[in-house]
Amino acid sequence: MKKRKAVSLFLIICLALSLLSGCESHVNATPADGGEASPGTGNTAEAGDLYTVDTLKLAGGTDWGMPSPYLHVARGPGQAKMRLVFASLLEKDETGDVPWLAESWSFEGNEYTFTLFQGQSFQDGEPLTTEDVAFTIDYFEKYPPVTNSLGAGESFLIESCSIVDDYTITITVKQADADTLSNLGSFVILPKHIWENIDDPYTYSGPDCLVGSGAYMCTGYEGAAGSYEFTAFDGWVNGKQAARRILFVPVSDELLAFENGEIDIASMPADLKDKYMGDESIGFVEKADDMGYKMLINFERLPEFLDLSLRQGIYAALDRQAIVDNVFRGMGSVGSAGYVPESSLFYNEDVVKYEYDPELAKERLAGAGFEISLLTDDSADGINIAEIVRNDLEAAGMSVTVEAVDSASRDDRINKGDYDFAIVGNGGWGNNPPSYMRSLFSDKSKYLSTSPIYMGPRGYSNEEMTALAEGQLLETDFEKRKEMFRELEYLVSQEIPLFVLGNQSSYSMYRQDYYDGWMKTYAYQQAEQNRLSYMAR
Amino acid sequence: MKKKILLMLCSFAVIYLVNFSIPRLMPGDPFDYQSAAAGEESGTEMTEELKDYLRAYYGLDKPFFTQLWENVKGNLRGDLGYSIHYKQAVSGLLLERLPWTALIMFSALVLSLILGTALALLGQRRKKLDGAFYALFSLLGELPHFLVGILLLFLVAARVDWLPLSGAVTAFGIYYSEWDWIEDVLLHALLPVAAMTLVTTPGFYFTARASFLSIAEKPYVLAARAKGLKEGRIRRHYIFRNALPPIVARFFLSVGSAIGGTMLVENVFAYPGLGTVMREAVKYRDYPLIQGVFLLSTVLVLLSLFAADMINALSDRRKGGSL
Repeated sequence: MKKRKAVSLFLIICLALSLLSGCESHVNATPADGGEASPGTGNTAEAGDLYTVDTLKLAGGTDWGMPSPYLHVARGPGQAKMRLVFASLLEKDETGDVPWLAESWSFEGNEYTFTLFQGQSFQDGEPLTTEDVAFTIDYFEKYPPVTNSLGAGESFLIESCSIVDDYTITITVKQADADTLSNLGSFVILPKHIWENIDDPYTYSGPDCLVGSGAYMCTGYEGAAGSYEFTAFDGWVNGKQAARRILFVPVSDELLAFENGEIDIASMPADLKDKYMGDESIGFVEKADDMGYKMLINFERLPEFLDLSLRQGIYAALDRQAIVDNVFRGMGSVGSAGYVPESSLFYNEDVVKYEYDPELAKERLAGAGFEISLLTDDSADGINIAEIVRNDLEAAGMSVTVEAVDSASRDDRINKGDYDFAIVGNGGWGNNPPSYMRSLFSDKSKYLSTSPIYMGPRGYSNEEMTALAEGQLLETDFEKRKEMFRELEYLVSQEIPLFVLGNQSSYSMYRQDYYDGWMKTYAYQQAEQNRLSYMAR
Repeated sequence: MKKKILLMLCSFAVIYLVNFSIPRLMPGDPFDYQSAAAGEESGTEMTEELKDYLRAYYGLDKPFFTQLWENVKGNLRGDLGYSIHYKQAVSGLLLERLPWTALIMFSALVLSLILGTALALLGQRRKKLDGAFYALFSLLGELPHFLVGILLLFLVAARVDWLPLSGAVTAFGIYYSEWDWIEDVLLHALLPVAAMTLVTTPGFYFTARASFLSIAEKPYVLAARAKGLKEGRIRRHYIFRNALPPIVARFFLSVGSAIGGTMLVENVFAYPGLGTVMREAVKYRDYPLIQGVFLLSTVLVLLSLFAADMINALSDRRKGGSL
């Protein structure tokens, strides 16, 4: 009898403990009016007519880390949240660089001079000066942050900096190039009075680690739930925020949450395009050709494909429109053989175009007895594309085995050169092309990154391509640089070091009668991740 | 008893070693994935120099056995390491999420235990009902937890206003009393617990049913009937009480599968438990976090199995066996 009672008691204790544990979490939970994550004593701006809308709600539910330069998760959404709280010197809009903390800037040779807006303070009320900028440069050299546009170690971009006055600073770089201004404008400024006492920033999570100088303060963060609250900072001097609050709330299904009015912006599924496009109350931000799939050949393992006629045969074998129609559900394009997508400012319309020509493919490929494996990740799109490619190549007389593994394993195998053909898909093709064209097609830079996203063809070398890919970086005249890119694209389309399988477009949809300030920059198409989407313009 | 404890400790040691080794044997590297994840909008591009710096910072540049030894020393001090992906102490991350997983899992297990046992008992009284339950639970028991979760989400939650679709509490909700908060928590837990309970109840039903049928044929039950005792008393005092140990043991044996099921259901409802953390940890090759989640699961499962063993042993002893 006693034992039975003990068992019953144990069960009751288990249930009670689990409920009590839940209660304990409640104590730590962030309340609606701010909470423990509130950064310092900065004042929140008053609600009312000052803002376009009171609250903007977006899909959360994933923990992207604390929005601090050292604690956020190294993906786009984590970085974007940190950049709401921490400001950089410059920002990008639809056409180019615009002032953010710096009111103006100039450069000559390796020297870049920035003048800060006067009156800007950190979110704890301390003034922001060039002392903080200089401190941040030294600190980032010693402790590289998660998002790092300045490089690390020997490749640290900056040689020195000199403070002219409280608002003017001159930064001298080791070697200026076309991306230097963008890189100098992108790093976020830390408050010296807080971070000068922190010796291990990678683990520091004190409440003042969230004191930034951005347009929004982080007033609520609950990692487990993936919920964030950002509140307009009234010490922000460069323009006005569009919303008093920005909330990232957990959702199980983004579309369901959008339909129920739980969030104000969501991704539009391709199959529902007609339904939503016909609704006048809904606005769209197009991420044109932003996702792209390419196929790599490991020329070290298959040197016979260094023969251009075989590579032309492969393009002829591929029915890329079938990929657009069946996998992208019509939202996208077959892409450009010059790599840069059609929607880009840098696109060269004269690149060589390869039509689907099964007969030509057979002529070039059949009879050689090619037996290859085609590596892909195990995502639905990755597998579907691989199946289409396999069918096309087999129709041309090759024997193809599809190997689908998880994306980290796929990346690891590509990094090690353990593949014949491999399919890689990633976002960001609509971003600023110069950065990825160099790491993809320059013999000097293509293995600098160990990610297949940026890695170029293994075992393939082209001096002319390398000269153009490296040379464009040193060309600071925009038109001349653009022309070099056009030449590079043409050469890529002619030489086919890799195959572009297709570009997928997507849309963010929002209720435009509520808020229509969502935008994309010339370099980044994710409306939800652009700071200017949250500013009154 | 000593033998059982020793066996449990050996199992723990083997699993610990496997937990430590498997993430490192998986293809990929946490810093390659930090740098750029395929299929995603990449946020950061790291140089090899920066990756080396971070590998050294997290101690992943050291030889395997050095890492293992330091990990053991850290764990003995209660330090589970530092998450590379979330950039937080693993113990803190787990402690923040464990209560939510425990709430869903134990609530579902307790409800399933009660429901399964009650329905099996009812089935003993009404044979037609027993047949219907048997058919229904044979079907339900085979469904995956997450599928039931998705069905509940789209067929139930999306059609009514008062049921929340996701999360454990209303994000940034304002509560005027503790009861408001408890009500909110229970409302958010309703669908995940229902999804788990629907799939877990059949197991308890079948165990209880088999146990009841087995006890019902025992000579002492026949003797009780022969004495003319009332059927209700026979069921309560002779059948139910004696059939209970295997059912309670089933509770503890179910913990392992319930942990797995809960993690999948949490992902369906964006519930802030260990499920999402485990998914991200594996995806991003976050070695310390993978080890932490699996260590916690291992301890929970081993303790549950030990509890089940103890219950069975106690039951055997009552029948004349020994511990």
